[in-house]
Amino acid sequence: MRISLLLLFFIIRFTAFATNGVNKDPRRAAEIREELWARATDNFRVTEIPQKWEDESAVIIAKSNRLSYKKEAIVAFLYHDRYIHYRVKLLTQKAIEAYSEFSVPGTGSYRNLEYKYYAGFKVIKADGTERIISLDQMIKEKAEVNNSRLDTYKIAIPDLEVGDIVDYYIAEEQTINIAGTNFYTFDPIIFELSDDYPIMKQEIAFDVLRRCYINLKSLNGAPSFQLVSDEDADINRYVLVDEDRERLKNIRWMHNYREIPTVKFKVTYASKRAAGSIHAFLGTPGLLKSSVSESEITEFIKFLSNSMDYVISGERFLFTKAMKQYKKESNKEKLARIAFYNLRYFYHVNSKEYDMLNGKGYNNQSAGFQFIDILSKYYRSRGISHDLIIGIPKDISSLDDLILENELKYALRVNEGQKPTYISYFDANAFYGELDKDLQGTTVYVLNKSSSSYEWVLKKEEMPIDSYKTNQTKNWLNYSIDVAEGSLQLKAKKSITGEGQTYFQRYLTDFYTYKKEEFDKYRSEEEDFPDSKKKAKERYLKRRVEVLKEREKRFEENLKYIVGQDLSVEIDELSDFKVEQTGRFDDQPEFTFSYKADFKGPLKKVGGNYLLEIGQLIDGQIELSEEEQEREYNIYMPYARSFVYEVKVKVPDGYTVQGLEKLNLDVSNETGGFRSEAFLEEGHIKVLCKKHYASNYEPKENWDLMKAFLNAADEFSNKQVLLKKQ
Amino acid sequence: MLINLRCYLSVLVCYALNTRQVLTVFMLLTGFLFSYGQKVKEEHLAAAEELKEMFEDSEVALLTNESTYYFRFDEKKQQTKVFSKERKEYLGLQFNSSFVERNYFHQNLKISSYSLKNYRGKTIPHDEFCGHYTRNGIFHSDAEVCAYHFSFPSKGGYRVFETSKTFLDPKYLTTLYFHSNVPAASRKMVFRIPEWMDVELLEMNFEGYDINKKLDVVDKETVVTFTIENIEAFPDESNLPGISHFLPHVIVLTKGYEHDGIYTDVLSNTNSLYQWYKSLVDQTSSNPLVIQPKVEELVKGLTSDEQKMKAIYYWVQENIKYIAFEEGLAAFKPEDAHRVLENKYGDCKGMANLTKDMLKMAGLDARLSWIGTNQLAYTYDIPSLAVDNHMICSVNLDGRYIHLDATEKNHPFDEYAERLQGKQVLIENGDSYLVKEIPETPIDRYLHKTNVTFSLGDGTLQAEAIETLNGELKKGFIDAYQSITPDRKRLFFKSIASGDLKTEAIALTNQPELTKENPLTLEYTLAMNDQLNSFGEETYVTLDYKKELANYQVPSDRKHPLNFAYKMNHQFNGTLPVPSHMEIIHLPDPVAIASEHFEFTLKYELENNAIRYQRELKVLDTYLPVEKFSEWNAALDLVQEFYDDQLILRTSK
Repeated sequence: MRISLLLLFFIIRFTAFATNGVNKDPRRAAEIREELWARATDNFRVTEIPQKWEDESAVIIAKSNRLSYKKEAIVAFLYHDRYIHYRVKLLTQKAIEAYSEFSVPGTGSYRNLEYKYYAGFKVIKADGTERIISLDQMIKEKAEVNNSRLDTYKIAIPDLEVGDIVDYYIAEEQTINIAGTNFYTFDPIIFELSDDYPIMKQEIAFDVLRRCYINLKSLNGAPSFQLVSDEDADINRYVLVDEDRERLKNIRWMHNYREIPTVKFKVTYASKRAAGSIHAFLGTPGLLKSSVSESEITEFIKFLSNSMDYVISGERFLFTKAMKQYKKESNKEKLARIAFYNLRYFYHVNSKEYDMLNGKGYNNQSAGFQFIDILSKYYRSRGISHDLIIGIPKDISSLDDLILENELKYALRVNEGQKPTYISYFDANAFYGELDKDLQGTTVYVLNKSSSSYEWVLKKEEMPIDSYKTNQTKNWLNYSIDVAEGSLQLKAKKSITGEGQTYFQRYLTDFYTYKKEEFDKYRSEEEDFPDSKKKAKERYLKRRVEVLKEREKRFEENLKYIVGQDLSVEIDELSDFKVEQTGRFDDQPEFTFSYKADFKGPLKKVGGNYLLEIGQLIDGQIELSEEEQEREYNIYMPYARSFVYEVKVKVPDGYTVQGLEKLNLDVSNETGGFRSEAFLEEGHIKVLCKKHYASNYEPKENWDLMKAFLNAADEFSNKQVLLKKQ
Repeated sequence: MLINLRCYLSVLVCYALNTRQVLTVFMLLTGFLFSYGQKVKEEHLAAAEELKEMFEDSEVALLTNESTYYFRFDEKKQQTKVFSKERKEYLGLQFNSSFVERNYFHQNLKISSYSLKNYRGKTIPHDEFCGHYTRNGIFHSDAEVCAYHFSFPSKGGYRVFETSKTFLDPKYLTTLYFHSNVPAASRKMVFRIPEWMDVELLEMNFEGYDINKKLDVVDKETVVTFTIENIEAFPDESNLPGISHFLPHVIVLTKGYEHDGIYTDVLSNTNSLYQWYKSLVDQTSSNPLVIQPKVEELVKGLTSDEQKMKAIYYWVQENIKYIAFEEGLAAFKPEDAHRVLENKYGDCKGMANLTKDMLKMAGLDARLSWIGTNQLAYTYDIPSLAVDNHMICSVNLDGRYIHLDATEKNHPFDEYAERLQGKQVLIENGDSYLVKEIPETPIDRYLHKTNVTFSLGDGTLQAEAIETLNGELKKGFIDAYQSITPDRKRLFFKSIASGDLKTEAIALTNQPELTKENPLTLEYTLAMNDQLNSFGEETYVTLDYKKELANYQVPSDRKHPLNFAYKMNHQFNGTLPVPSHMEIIHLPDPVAIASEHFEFTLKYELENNAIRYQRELKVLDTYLPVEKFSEWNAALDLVQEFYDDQLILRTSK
């Protein structure tokens, strides 16, 4: 449902309509109505719902998604139709709210595409009477962006009451003029078989005709598609029939595409001649393709790699030139590392200040396959043994369920030195020796890229999972107490290794954070903007002053928000933010920063004493709700991780501390752990806390084990100590 | 926004509530209109520096913002029109800034021209969106906007936007604000009023603003000029009352005009406003054949007027879905009652009209009424379309007027939504009209009361509680309850009861029912671990697990008034018998503060060897003006201190 709506958005986004209206062609409108309503299957004639769903807000009695893809012989037109049909019983006023207003895009055309929209709405009352809603009442919502029309049409459904059934369809018929090209790729679609309301019966059908290729897979227990051929009509219809689906729920640590029954597919049109040269895992026209062979993947990688040679790349040119100075370097492991950092410099640093000051903003996008390709080809030229890792992100699919080329994600592995080293991130903060969190624990294909392409063979391998120690966040939190004000002064240092860095680097760093360390390493000229004329240089320098001034304020504001959220307090003042180490090199992997913050909240005056909510002095802990106590699905977390806190609180003069012994907690098992200990040392309360999640995945059977340490951490967060007046 | 106004009659103030929507559209565009290498004039740069000092959070400011309004008689159409000219000089206050200028129009306000130029007078490239715009809760409105997205080359970058517009009917020119979406170094508003034109300019909320007013006579026209310097942007703070309450603005009262010796009334007084409204209402028709059967069905067997009123009102509330239309005269003219009944949807006017027709058929003296919700600061002595934004039905019951707003889905009969209380209502009365006031609901009707009996067990604080909720607080829970899935319904009640506690601490002992007429009653037991702490012989106890209004202080940098969604009356009464082996060594000091806006009383007392805890927090008014912030915060600080403090008991030796 979500993806299909995205598709609709996509259409609205990229289309502009020359004419307007819904059901503009009355003859076709009547045909569609006849087909979807008069000749509806029995599923769309049901009025009763199962007793088990009587308390639901609404129940989808029947739902159908019919798609067709066809190419007429001779003419250069491609036809893509989509018919969405729902029959929904409304059981509450809220459901009436949800189904009483509809919006349909207007018929029109844009470039080589022509769209026609048809819709029908009818209401079936409790006594069985049916009323078709006239579309004459549709209201046009005008919208025009830069002279392109994006109008939509709205309708309010009259006379809706609890117990009514709304039966509606929205059909989109697209004609695509493909003159001058011999292939066309439709956007991939993922259907989750669960919806916001329970579903009694649903059907997804595809008609695939003449030279259309369809890649499709049912996942996570979704029923398979059955072929229903109609040779007379030259139709291959694939139909999935499903029933009795419970409502979709929102669950912590969940990958829907790995647990919820799902169907993914993509359709491609290619002429006979074009089909051989397209690298998109095409099967046989008109027949479903549900698996991808290893040789297809190898061919695809060859194609990708070869095509990169035709792309003009300034980065490649500068990188190749720069690496000439390492001609004599014989340590291959060292060379592999040097090459990575040099290439990162040319992609993300070298000329990026121009871009920034020309208004393109701070862009730290991952460089993608081209980066891998340049690096890999360089490695091969220098005899550096390495593999290409080809996998699918763990939240999308398992490798066996691969059907689309755009599901793939790539990494490199250098097999020099004592142990293999992964390179899987290609942004400005990526460093040598990181394994993509999305591929950890998944089965991937490994391809020896040191060899010639004709020797390439895929091997399957299981990717390792980072230790929780790799993804570690360490906190040194020094508090002092202002008794008179009832406030706390925090002097903090945070040091993050691994995946946790991304979030903080995103909000607390930019180009200027690492400019100096990069220029010191990779740039010889001292001069700013050497390629610019005097006036342009002056302008750049002025803008730089502005940018530098603004960013400091922005970072402190961001950090103030982050710290406030983490500690669940309102920060009164935050100052002295400083990045101590950028965490962008494998020999200095910690991203470390420090700051000072003042706030109130955890200190409560009780009589003449103070209660300090000491559990609130570290980051907020997960509080599992009552309904999370039972777990129905496996547990998918982003990565294994750990958190270390060293808290020091100066005991105010004239006070003693009681209750520290309650802070000693220790729960540890195979899924993770929480440990805390507290003691007094030289006039300070010292608390040491460690929390770790051992893996990025746990089977649902381990939920009780996870709960044990999560609850211990939550218990800690509620702990208080007494500062007793002497 | 705490208040979600669901029914508007008109879109007259084009206040930029729609920024996000327009920006989203522009974000869809792939091109970015950055102008490289354009020069900046020294004087603009200097002005930008100065403005940045003054308005440090702003990326863009107005150097000047002038609008002039001309009243002219259209001989051809034989009617008066108002022409407006706006000229806005924008400056970029920092590198890489951009802005979206919005130019609003509707059926009675047309854009004649616009231009967007740089300081050399050359048109600059920009993205343009034109179309209807939607606001929360409005299904369709004929209000349209053209929005132009442009960027500034660098600090001091200059863009001038000019537009000419025409009000086809002068009564649609209503309120004009000095504020804009960005701060302005200079804001000027000019009215050129011919001597044949009867126009009054009402100066609203000018106090506290240094607005200069100048009167001239030029070519038989009175020229009224208002100027103000260094004015901030429209506020974007949360929980703001309607801006008409506190921002300076001018209400343009176009009373009438004289042409060829004949005086034509536009809106000269409340009666002419009423007569115009009435002329629209008179255009509606009624089909008793559609309505009568439903009325008969609803009132069958009912004898008293109140029963009939209630039956019909509740039916409309529950069965007519609110869908708002604001198109042309439809923004002011109610839909025919029978059409609303057939459609089972309508806007506030349609629902009021249906309620009225049904009640009349049931033999009651029901009338249509116009009202401005508490978003508007006006009363009916101002004859302007800006004065109201809502329609309800009023019933004359032997001289007492009962007002029925069927758009308030979960409101009980004869109680009034917060947004209507204290507001004037203009009631139809044949050829004349009545102005009445919606009564304020007494604070007792907002009562949220929690009675708890505590006991100290082994390391836990246990309790039995009865909690009742009334008023708008309960109404909000009815709304929320209707949105949740069936498996979460019981947990929903527990989460209301739990306050600061985890829901696991609560065990419900009754089956709570949410109805509009009865209070919501929750009965439950509690077992709380985190509410007490033992340190040696001493035990620290917190009885209050609700702590309403904790951390409700107004931030010190807030500049504009605060609006509460509704009045509040939270009471908490607890009793804890002191265990025989313990003695009390500390009770928090009582707090008692009262002002015209609030009353807070919190105290612990020892009675018959039991601790009695009593807490009453009353917020008597939804509008908290800026000058009361310090008083409010000081009171809340005391409440917070009281909450932070705890009982201390000691094990007797």
